[in-house]
Amino acid sequence: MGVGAERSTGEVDPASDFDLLYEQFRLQVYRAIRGIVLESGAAEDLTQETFERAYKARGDFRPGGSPGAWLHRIAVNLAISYLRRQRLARLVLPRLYVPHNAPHEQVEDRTLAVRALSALSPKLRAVVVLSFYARLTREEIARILKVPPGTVASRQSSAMEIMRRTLADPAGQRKQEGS
Amino acid sequence: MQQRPYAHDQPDQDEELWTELISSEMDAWQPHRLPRAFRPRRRMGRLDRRLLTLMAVAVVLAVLALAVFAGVSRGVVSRVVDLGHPEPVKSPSVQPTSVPEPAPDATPAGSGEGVGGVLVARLPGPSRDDSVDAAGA
Repeated sequence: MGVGAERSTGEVDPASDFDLLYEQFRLQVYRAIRGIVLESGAAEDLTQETFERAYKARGDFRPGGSPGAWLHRIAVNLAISYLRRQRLARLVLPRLYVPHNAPHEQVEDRTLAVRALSALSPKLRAVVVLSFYARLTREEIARILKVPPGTVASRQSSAMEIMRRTLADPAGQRKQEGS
Repeated sequence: MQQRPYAHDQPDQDEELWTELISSEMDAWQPHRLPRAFRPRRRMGRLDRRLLTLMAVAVVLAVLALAVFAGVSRGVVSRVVDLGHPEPVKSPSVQPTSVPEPAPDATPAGSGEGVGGVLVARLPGPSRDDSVDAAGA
């Protein structure tokens, strides 16, 4: 269930009812983050961090805005920052780098969606998660990622093409399963 | 003219399919550690900050006080030690040899010599008039 579906049930004001906001968006934010970082443990930590930041900034939320889009903006920024840090850690300290997930989890979670998302860069992944899972509009995604709506559209079509090729390629599948 | 629905609908269909695939898998993801109710981490309040500042100031003052006290006590100790081993006090009367004592009559009054010299020369011993007075008493 995406943010768009939540919107029809009525908006929650983060300033006055943060507990309800958490209850309503906790899983969506967690799954969106996990769809970008592809690590369950890191996704939980980043979800907690997202709500911490949202709680701190709840007074800045503009009434009439979409709390789901607001939360997803914080979540996506945190997720992309996390991936940047991880990449840097892998580059700088390859011997010390330890993935957040347990090895068994890395194999078990290689479902179709994860295989498809794994083939994408973090920026493309964010577009896919926000459009296909959170079901935000292109304009909302553009505001979150601070890019023009046209860029969102082109990223989305690129992502779909890459995902299609990834899932259609049996060699890629075997390689993923063998790893 | 007949419209071509395929060309227009194909991207939407693709998007629907991807939405279905991704959502169905992602909806199965469940967090293990994430709490059901939001519990903000305890952040440092204004009162805590003030308390921390006060404590920091108190620590700095205590350290300063200790340093000063240590300096003072060292001074006091050294004074006490000095009292235990007094050094001879040097005064001009103990070392009269430094100034030659002129004979009372050698220098005529108002000869223009320094006043200090005259005074120092007379200080060590009683004057002749004094000794006479004492003898008379």
